[in-house]
Amino acid sequence: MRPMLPVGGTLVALTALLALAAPIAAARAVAAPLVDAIEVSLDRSRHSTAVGDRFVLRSLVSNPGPSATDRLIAHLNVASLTSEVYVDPEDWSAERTQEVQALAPGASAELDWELQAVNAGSFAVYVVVLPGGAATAGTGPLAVSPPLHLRVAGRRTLNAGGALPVVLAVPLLLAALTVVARSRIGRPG
Amino acid sequence: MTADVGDEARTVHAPAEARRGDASWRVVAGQETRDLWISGRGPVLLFGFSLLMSVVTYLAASNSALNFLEQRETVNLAVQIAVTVGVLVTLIASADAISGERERGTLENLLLTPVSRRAIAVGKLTAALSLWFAAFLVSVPYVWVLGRGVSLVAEALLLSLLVGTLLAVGLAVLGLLVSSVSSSNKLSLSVSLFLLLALFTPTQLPALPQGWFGTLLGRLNPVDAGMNYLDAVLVAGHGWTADLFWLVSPVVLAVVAGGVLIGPGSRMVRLFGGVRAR
Repeated sequence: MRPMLPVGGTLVALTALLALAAPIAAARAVAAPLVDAIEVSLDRSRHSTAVGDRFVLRSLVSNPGPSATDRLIAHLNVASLTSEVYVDPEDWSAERTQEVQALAPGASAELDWELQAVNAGSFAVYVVVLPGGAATAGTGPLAVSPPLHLRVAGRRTLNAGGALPVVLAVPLLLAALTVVARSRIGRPG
Repeated sequence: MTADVGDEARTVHAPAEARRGDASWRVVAGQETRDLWISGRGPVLLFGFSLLMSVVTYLAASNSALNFLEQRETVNLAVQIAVTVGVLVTLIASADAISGERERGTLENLLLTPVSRRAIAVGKLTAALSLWFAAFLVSVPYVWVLGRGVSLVAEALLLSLLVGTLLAVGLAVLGLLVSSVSSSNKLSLSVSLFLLLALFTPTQLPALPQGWFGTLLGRLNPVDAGMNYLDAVLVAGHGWTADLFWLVSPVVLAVVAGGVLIGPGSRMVRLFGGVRAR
């Protein structure tokens, strides 16, 4: 005959189960979907510039919801809208990640992003906000700004044809000078 | 001064000006520079340098995938090559200056001229430095080609002149010191090249965050510090004064080099090699 589980033991087991489940439930309660709690916007939707020019993009992270947010991480990204241009976002901005402190209901934070256009072409620039607190990290979905459509005009002056005169002329000139100097030294009298 | 200039040249050129004391180093510098550029290896070294710069410039210019930042990095690369190779050829000339004369048997004659030993050292250093300034001049058109599209020409050239001159002065005096104590010219050249290589190697390490010891070593190494300063201004776009701490060790090296020339400079030119030799 199987021994019956004593009532005391059952209570202990239930208490332990509840104690283990409590933090998970609490975390789920805090980690409300970020996309519902946070709004991200940019100060413009289109911008035109030329290669090498710098500009500042301003973003606004606001909390229109009824409860405070956890600590947030805002991240800037640049994507090429054409397949021919390779984008390394690190080249575009030295500081692409910024921390946003917890936002109270109705509060907002302005973030400035300094960019330098390093490729010519058509690009989308956007800011994504991720939960960064210990309890909310890794939860989603994320809050994303509308993209800024960026057009960058080319200004390329470095080309093989333009460099060729210097590349050939300098060594030739130095070789000629060396030969002339040597021949003068070698000449008797 | 090399043997082919002969004793005559020294006795004819030296006395009139040399007796005026301070001006005697100019006589030595003039003669040494003529030796280096007319009958010596100066033009050949410079030709080799121009070939290297041509290859680098052509490779960069023909790469159509370079973005704006990579073009700035290319200018920085050209400047770093100019500084490194310019300093290298200067070091070779100075490392040969005393031990070479000794080995060719011309040092004794030089010591007999009415020129102070310090003037000989300063004159030889000046001649060696002419290689650096010539390398800098040769690098100008290359930097212009690479840097005009990113408006970096003037800045790159001024920085190159500043950092390169500090390093060239310091390392040329180091080369003279090594040449002075080396028992053979081969040893002097080997030790000097090893020193330059040891100082240059850290500049090729990946730019990862370092601990305090790594940072300290980077700042103490004048070559590494100089290259970091170039990097900060030319690639990162920092102002000239934002990262001046990188210039501390190149400046200290140049100042110490000047002090060595003024102080124990006269003891550098000796008939025999070795640390204890007189």
